[in-house]
Amino acid sequence: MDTRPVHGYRSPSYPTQGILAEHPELLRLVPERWRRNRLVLTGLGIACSLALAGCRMQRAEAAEDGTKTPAMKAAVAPIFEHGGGLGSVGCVVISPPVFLTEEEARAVIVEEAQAAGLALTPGAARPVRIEVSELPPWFGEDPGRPTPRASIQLTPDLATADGGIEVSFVSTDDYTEWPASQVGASSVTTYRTLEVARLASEGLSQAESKEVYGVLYDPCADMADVAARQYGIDGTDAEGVDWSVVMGALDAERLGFLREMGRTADGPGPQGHSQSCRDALAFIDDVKVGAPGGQRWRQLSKDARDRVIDCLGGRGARWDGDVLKQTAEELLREQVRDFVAWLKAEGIV
Amino acid sequence: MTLDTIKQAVGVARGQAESRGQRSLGVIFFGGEPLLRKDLIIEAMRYCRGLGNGSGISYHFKVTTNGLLLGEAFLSDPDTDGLFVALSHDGVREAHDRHRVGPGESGSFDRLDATIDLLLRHRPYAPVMLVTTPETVEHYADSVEFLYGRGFRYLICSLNYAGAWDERAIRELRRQYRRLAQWYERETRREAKFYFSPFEVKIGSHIRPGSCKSDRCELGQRQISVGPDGTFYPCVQFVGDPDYAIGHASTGIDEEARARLYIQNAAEKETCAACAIRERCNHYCGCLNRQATGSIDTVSPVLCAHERTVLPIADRLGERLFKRRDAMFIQKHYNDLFPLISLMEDRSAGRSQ
Repeated sequence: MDTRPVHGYRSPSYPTQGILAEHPELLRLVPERWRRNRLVLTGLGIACSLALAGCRMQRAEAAEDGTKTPAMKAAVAPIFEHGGGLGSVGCVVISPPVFLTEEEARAVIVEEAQAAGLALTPGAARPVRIEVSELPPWFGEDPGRPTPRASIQLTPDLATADGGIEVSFVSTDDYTEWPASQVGASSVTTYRTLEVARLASEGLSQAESKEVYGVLYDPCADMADVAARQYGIDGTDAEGVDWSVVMGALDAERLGFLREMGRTADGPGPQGHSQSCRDALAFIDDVKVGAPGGQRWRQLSKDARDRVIDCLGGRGARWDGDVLKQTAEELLREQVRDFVAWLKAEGIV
Repeated sequence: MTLDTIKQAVGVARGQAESRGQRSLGVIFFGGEPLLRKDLIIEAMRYCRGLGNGSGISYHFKVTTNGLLLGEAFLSDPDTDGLFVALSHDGVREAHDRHRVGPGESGSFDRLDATIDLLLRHRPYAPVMLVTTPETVEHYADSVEFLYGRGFRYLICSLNYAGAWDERAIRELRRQYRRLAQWYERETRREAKFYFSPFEVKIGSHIRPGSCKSDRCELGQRQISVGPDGTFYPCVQFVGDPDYAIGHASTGIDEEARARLYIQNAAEKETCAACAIRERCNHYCGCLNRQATGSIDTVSPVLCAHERTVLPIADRLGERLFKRRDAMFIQKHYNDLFPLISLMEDRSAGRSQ
């Protein structure tokens, strides 16, 4: 056995402690067992106050050194990621996602929020002007090129009657309208609703506003999401099946034209996509080559192998529009539930 | 070891603490089996406490034991009040009795059954130290769950890096860590409070960048080991090896030797310079490297394999829990006051040390 340095490691998506500088309210997410204990809540209150004081001190220091003192900035909920928010249609995409219309999404959001005790109404929100980053091109991105900025007027889709809480839903239409100065030509259209949601959220966080904002997005549900829910797939399991790789394999199947077009799996793309694509292609090769080359394949039990086959080419991968629509709505509901939970943790509702 | 040697060593440590402005000094008893000299432990604690009165320095004490000599009398003795007791236990019978055998080759699993209850009754926060070997790795997850089920909430788990690890054993280790990730996630979502060192350290190394380096002992800089004859070493792993002596209780610390070893250990290893995870890896630990390779300069391939195995599993776990905004996960890892708040909760519920 030799030491083997790791060449390239994706930075994990959970944040460092530095996030508390921007979102001290994170510490208000309290375990249920602490909610019942007054002494603990007192101690926690001190911790949150210290975190908030640190945040305010940083802002005050920024003001003292001559930078513009920020006025009251809008409170913006984190993006609650349920659904990849990335979907392609056209050309040889063989298993396209299903998208929600604005009306469908509004209906889901209103219903789910109502169930959680929050009444949202279409048309009650006020437009707000924000500075946002343009959407960078997906392929051929020049990492050294600064991202252009644009000023847009954003009108959230839903709001409470008093306008204090406003919710935006990023649809595929919103995606196509988002500022982007670089336009690529392709027979495939890729919608990056999650990416736009992040840009919108970032822009809103700098707005001078007293409102509280939530940004939701079209999950772009595809058969990978369906398979994950159908087979109860989440992370890895005791059989050693790395389901994130299997899900990547489904993506790789749909994006198989990349290989046909001569692109390598090292090509640019959304963060992490290159690595997961490479892993997924390697996994497919492992599986398709068969026993001699498929070490991982041999280690799996029959049950695990059956599940993998289902996902890659069998029942789990058969395109079903109704199931996809249902999945998309459920993923959006999960986003709403998390948003309302955040509002409650923040003490806003 | 004699009480005089202990007194001299404590004197040297106290001088170091005073020069650094430290107000707390830890005394750790290790072996062999330290409870073979319970009398000496008690005398040492009495002596230190006597020194501590009015000196501005408080002493805290810890002992790691195999538990075979641990009894009610020792734990309830007023002189051992505050002694932090860690139990070495390797988990389920098949794992524990594989290596921890006494005369006649019988394992100690059965004998420790009542000891576990006794220890946790007196010391509810007592940690358990579990070592996994290539021969017991298939029982790793079961062993952790067993010890957790027995009531331990601080599970300090490590490998025997000097063992005969091969690719098959490392694959099994990966499988076991994946099972443990599921257990960790399940218990966290139940809002259980516990510490499972392999995952806590790795998740912490991302949440607090640099902590992997700063939290280590730094080879003799923050912790000195004293051999039975009074010779100083940078770590327990080196006791008895004169090449790593850094002083003596009677003469003090050999600062030149200590600095030389520290610099030698702190230098980045050539094999690791280009590694993408080196800042979050335990390859800095000269003691572990020496245990496996015989040299503090040479990174153990087993250590390397372990770090490459556990890190992505811990990170995927952290991602899942953060994505869910799991409150217990966030409090444990992002709230610096979590230990204090947790203690407040336990005290208010009537649980005490």
